[in-house]
Amino acid sequence: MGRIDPFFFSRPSAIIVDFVVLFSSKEIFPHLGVTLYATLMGLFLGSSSGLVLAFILGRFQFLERVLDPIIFGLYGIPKLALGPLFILWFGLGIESKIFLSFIWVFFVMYFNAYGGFKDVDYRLVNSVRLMGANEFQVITKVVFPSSLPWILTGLKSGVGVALLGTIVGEYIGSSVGLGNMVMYAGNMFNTTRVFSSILAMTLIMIFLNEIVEFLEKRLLRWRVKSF
Amino acid sequence: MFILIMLASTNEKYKFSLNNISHSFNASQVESIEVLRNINFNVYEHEFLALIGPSGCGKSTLLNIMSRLITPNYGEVLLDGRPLRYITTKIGYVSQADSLLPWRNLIDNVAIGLEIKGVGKRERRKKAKELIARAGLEGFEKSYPNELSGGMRKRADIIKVLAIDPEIIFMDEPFSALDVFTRQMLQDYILDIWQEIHKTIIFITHDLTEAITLADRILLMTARPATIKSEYNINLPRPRSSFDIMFEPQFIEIHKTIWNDLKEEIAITGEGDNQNF
Repeated sequence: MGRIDPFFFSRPSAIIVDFVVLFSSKEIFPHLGVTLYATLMGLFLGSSSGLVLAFILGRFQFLERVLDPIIFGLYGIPKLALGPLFILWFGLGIESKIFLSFIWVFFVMYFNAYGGFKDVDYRLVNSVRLMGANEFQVITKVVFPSSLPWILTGLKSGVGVALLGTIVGEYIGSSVGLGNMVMYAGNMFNTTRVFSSILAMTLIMIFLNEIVEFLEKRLLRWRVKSF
Repeated sequence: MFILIMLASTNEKYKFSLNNISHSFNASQVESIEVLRNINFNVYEHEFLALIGPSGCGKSTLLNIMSRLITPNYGEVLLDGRPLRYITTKIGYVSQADSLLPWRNLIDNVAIGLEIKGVGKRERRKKAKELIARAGLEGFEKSYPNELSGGMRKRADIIKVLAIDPEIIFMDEPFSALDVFTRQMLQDYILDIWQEIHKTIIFITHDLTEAITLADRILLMTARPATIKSEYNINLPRPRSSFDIMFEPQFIEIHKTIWNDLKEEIAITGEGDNQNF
């Protein structure tokens, strides 16, 4: 026997075999489907609402002064602690997971997009105004393209916390999902299954990250590589 | 009554006028800085006018007022004898800093004015392509601004404004960030363009050589609060070349005269700065 006890750490070979079995027996699909769905929903709702709020606050100084400190204060609340509350509100179903994921993504996107909108160069805005651009054109031709790198960074970090929110939600209370699978396996002392579930989550992350990176490469071709 | 009508009609022959423009900025609640004091001048159609003054005298503020980015505290801006109250595409504006959008390639940057106007994609690209070729930037249509040199970006800035076919072009120290050789090449480029399209140009600079090289007439501004101090007609023959003109005796003489005038203002700015900081 080696120095590492397989009871605690399992074996790479066993993990791979279990991972393959999870797919070939189709056992993982309902879990994968639910987790992926909640993650993507949380990501979509969180990033779109974060983006909209950042835009509104960036545009109206008064609202910004009133709301920005409040948003920052809310950001400080440990979202993990809110989990049980959300389950109470939205039930054990997928809604509570989506909501937890949404809350997490929202803040990440809000802060990034807000930074992006604040960073827009007024000289570029003036230059298109002088070419006769109306407000809508200023927004579509300057404000959004200029903030896009920040928004995509928000999306990228958002992907991570979206999955985190979903898994945490599933951990707190659920009957299906990868988080549920991990917890169940842990309770059964099935370390192999714990690791193969973690492997599945890692692959989800890599997959989602690739999508965002693809978007980044396409949309930010114009950026200089500084280092 | 009759005199009033006559005054109104004499105003008509000017392409662009400033009447009694004064402007202050609020530095704080109690203190305000007077930047411009009672500025008056007229610009004729097709004229190349240079405004020159010490740095920090409020030249850029004046241009922002002239293009209606800022509303002056007092006074009136007239275009074709009529008060100008809003930003208009009859005026093209070449700014000091690059105004190319970094996320657009050259052709889409040059075409942006037409795009804003609602010109179709094919047509505006065709026009942009022509302008790019005439500016000697052929082959760079798909390049992003960060892939172009400073001189190329400035050319692009200029043709971007030419694309919307304005009646007047304002230029706010457009070449101040460039090296001497690039600057002279671009001065020649501007001279060529002006010779060809013959639009009214108002060119702001703090470089006296540049002003004499380019302009028909130079207005000298005082240190802050800026006002028009004197006026010089530059009767050097055209077409001019920025390389040759500097050695003409007439050029040197004009340069000396204006420089003596300008020197006093620079001395004032220097003193003022010492007191403030």
